[in-house]
Amino acid sequence: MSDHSEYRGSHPERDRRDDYAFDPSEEFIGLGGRRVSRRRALATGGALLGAAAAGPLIFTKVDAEGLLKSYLKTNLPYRANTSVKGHVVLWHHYGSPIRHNGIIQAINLFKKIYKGVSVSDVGFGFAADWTEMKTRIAAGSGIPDVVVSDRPKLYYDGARHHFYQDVSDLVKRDGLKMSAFWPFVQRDSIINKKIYGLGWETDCRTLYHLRATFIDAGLKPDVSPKTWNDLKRLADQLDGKGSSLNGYNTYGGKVVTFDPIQGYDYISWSWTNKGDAISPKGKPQFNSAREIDTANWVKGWLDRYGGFSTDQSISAHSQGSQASNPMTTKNTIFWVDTPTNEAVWLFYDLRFYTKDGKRINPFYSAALLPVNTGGKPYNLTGGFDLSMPRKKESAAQRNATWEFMKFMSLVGQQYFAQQVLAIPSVQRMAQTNSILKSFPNYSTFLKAMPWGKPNYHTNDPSLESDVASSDVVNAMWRGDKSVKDTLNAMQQNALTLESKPGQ
Amino acid sequence: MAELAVPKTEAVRKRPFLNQRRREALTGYLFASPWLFGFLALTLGPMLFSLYVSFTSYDIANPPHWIGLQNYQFIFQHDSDFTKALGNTLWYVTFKTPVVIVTSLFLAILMNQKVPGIKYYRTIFYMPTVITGVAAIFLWVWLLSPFGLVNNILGALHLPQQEWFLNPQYAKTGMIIMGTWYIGAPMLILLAGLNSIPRHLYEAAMIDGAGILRRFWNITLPMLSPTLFFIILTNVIGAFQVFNSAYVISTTAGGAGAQPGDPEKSLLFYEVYLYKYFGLSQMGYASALAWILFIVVLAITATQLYLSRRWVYYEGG
Repeated sequence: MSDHSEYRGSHPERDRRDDYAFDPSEEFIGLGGRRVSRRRALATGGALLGAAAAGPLIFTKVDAEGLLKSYLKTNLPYRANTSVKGHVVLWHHYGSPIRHNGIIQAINLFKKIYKGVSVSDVGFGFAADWTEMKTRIAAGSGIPDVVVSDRPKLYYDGARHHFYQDVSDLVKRDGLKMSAFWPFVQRDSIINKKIYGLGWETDCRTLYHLRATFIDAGLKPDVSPKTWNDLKRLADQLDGKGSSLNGYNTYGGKVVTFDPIQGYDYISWSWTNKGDAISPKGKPQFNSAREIDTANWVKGWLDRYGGFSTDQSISAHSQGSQASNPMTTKNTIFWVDTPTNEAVWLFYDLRFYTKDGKRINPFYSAALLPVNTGGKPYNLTGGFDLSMPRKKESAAQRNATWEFMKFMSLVGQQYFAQQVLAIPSVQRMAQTNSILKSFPNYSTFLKAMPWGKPNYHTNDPSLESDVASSDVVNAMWRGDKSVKDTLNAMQQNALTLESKPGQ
Repeated sequence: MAELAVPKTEAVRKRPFLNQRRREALTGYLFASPWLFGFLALTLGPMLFSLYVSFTSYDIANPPHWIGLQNYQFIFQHDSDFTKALGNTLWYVTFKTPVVIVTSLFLAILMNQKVPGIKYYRTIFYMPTVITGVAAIFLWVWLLSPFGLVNNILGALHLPQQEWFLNPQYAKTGMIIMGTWYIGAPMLILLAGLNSIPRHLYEAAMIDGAGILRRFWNITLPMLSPTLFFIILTNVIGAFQVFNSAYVISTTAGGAGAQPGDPEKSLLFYEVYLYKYFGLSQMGYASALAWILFIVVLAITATQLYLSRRWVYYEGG
């Protein structure tokens, strides 16, 4: 019996011809040449007709892959050339089963559509792939075709050191609109009108709290502070609650409502106060009025709960599994985090209860970061692009690599994002993906994404972390040195580091 | 005048180029040639290249650009982290080396006793050396965590508990405690050294009325001095190159967001600091740092070799 699977389901008449129950030579003469009565023949015929009607549902196989293929072929959101041939090597840093499965899913989908392109993916430890890639570029061999690149560093790795190719010729050729990506993704990927990557996964930061805690405190579970003043008012209500909240650690007799440097840093908070340590032109301004104001605000919060030593105790008491943080370990009420970590909490199936034993699900609520008067809820984003390392290759191979990059960025990315609750860097994809939209608080993340802060670049790629290093900043929080003096010293250091040779 | 006829037997014989001495030397070089080739191609060659690169701006993927002494000038005049990293490393070398030497010598003396089952004890004390790498480091991060086993024991003994790798004042102390994990190897070397001390020296001393401490001071230590010198030398060089443990501890113990060298740069050792510039593709700067370290270690090693004349006793003279 032939398979005919390529058209099964679309031609039921032809399919039934091969069914053994439908043999016209047996209908009137019967098996073994015996005569069959009319009634029996009619009953048999009716049964056969019923079986024939149901046949396609029982005996045929819906060609799901074919349907998907034809849908995607006509609905790929870019000009696709599915006839390209080649082998693409992708390097990434996704070792966890969740993330790696997401990558594999997207790659498998690509291979179904692009029959002439084979793909190998290689996983590395985080950042080890970039180091390895640079040494391969120096050696001139073994260079991968596509790398999941560190988007904030494209300014240095792409535009300055040319580790990555400028793909603006391919973008222009295929009519790709970079405006499809979030604004900060565009800003980080396009440098001096050259394009060094297509957006891959990204995220945002929002303010979380446990809903059960708010219920126990007599507050509405999903109402979050919008401003710095709101935050202070809430803290005035919550700090003394201590024993009435279920299982919270107290510090100096108080529940710590808010510790601004747990999970975040004062420079990122300054963005909600109309400030920034680096100007849009890339000049350090660590001692601007807004930076000093924000640092004083942070210090005020720390001093409210006994000083920097309380923050250190919170860090010590919050250690544990990947799902442990000051909020989930009940050391603080508020916590700043990314949606990707929310996926970890869901994976661990964390459960939180009110004092009277009622399980609250979802157990957390998220909101835009609170702002100072006149400020905007800019938040720290990171994320990655797909980039093509600099290498000598044929035009055919480059085209195959480019098709892979386009597909993964503009189609495959959502399958990865669904697995790990990353936010797709393609705006429309993030806004319309039904699986992502089913996650709690996803609508909040979509509101936070336009406020993702683009990176302003200085001459020194590590200037901010070198200047605002933990020893300097923590001394400020401890009160060893005043805020103003510390930030003035940081500014001097920043100006010195800008002149470091070899950058 | 008639020509003098020179008998053939007295004709001057030419000396062959490859005489026996030269042949022996050539054979020796041929045997050593694989190592020589490796040294020239894989050690000396890259060293000379890195010396050149230290005077350039070089990101590994583009040709080096000559900048002269600018890297060295910036390091010595403006780089506060260089001073911090060098200071941390010198502190670690100064305190870790004697702890390791004293502990391993003490253990070696214990393992040199003639008690039943001593070979099992030697195995037990050597086994931690076999468990190396990141696994052992993570084990110590757990042991020295604020809620780890060490603090639990201290608490049970009513002794003050510390935050170890979370507290900049105690992080390096935690590293030194962790350093005792690897005393198996020096212990074995010292054990071999102890076994090579002639017994008649002890017997003679005992006849003369020398006690345990006198015998240890006047016989054991001097006879063990070459071995001790070797262990001190190698430990000092190794301590200058500390990287794995410092990097893993500083980036994991403090949780998400921890930077290499945390807490508060107390674990910013020299090689951790140098590694940062490789990650930033600033190879010229990193090479300059590497050569400064080389010169420091060379100077300290040369000083140790010079001072060894005063206290190291070689039996052969």
